[in-house]
Amino acid sequence: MPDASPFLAVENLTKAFGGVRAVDSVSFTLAANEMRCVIGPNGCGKTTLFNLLTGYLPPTSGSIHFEGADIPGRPLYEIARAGIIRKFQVPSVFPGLTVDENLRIALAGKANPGKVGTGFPSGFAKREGRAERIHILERVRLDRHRHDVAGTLSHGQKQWLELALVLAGSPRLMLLDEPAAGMTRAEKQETIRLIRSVHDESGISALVIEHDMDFVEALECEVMVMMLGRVVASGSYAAMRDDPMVREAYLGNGHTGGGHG
Amino acid sequence: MARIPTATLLALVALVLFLVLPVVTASWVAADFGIYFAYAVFAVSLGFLWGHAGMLSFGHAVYFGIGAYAMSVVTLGMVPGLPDLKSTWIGLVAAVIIPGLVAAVLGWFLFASRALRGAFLGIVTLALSVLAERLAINADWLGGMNGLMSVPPINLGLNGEGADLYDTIPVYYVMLAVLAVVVAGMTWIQHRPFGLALAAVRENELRAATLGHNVARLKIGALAVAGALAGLSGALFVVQFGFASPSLIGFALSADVLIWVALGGRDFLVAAALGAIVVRTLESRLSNALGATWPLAIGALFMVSVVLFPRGVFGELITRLDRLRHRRRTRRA
Repeated sequence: MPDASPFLAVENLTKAFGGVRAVDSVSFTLAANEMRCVIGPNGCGKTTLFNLLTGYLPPTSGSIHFEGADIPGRPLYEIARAGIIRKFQVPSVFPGLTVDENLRIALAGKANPGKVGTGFPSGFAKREGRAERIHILERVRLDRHRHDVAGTLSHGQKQWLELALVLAGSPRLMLLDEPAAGMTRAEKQETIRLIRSVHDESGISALVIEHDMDFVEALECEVMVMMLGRVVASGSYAAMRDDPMVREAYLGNGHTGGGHG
Repeated sequence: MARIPTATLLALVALVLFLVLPVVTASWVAADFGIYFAYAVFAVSLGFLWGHAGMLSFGHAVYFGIGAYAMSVVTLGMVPGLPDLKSTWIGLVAAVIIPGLVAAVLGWFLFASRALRGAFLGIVTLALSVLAERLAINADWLGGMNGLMSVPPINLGLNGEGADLYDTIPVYYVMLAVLAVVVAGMTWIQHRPFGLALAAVRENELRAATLGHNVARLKIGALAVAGALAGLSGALFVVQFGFASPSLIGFALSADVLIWVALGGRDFLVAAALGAIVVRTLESRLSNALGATWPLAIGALFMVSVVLFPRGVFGELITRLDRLRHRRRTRRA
């Protein structure tokens, strides 16, 4: 490795639950501005990997470095303020609050330059501006639902609100856990367009967990295949599609199904 | 045109009713209501902590009691080393800052390194209120079991040398004004980033943290704000009641305020405030009518209303009116 540290470097990362190694000696790096899909059968450790990257779970061993800084052991909010923002698999927007309030919360939580870690009350950036909120909501086609209570949105709209929360958090690295799960075909197309445009325009790095192989193909990015907690292959979508081991282990059986990673 | 929230409309209607109340009733009614308004501020404090921030406290009277004692100690000239200090204003500041600090320190212990919540938080606060009451009973310098008597009323002078605010009607309107400002101010805070972040913590703590919110600090902040406000209400109570006793700090009053807020409605601050006023009014009427059995009647009322209106009586009213207004609006559109 040259002297410049990589954007995201994961080394020998392991998470064991009892005797089960949900994530087993995973090592990879992600460059700045890179987008990559993480695929693999149910239970292969994809979501656990995200839980480790966001500090939700402490690793059993191994290291995660984000822009040179150690990630494990830091509190969740600090990791978020460092720029790793996650979209959950099951939409976990704030259901009792309006769409607009959801966004204000995300904007209030994001990193406050020069004041990172000072928290309450100066940690509230002044930048929860109305124009920014409307702009983000236009991007996810929710501008007409700004004053609706989030719990009343359709499933697809909740997924988009999740994406809006991620965008409002000023991410440096987006972790998108099944961004199109449970969406209609049209909504999926729209989601692909949205993720691509966010990535292309602002160069935000992204790891995307997805089960739908058409979705992965349409995102046009590198693919990393996980099985039984290990990264078993990575490369272009075409290379992965043609890899006999990947085909047999994953693509061959039920590749359209959703579920837990 | 922006729609006025239904809770605000209800608050305005209640404000108008309370403004004319002393004109149409006997003065002893107004005297009672002055004290009820102090209780209502107390209920708003718990409504903010429990309903808005999602932190249930079984020992909220601790802050109320500390506020009441702080005001009493200052205005009775009992501050050690400062025998000449008798200012209502200093008493008011002490009654807000001391319980606020106590709440912040407690919050730091509860939330800074571990994330105590739900029933565990309830149990700790319950133990605390019992402990605080024992401490007050055993504190001879605070009058022990007898408490502090002859606490002066609000004195308008800088150090207790001015006119006393003693007449029923002015006191009534001062208390009503403070309650109105508290409800308006706390509602404003609910919609500021701090208040919104607390709502986020209430709805989904993990999500709030993964969006960059320091949940522990937010909770400590919420507890400090609620503690300071409860302290204010204790001070407002004691300048009217004239007597601070260990019962103000203990479990009984902590349970009372929970009942007021649950009965009124914890989702809206104004509902919590009205809950306190209505329950207190009913208690005094029922104790006249039923004699010693009135607590049974209140208990039955509480159980029935919790089953019928889990959002609280006024919470339910606001929610239904809101739905009605929404339907009429969409029909017109």
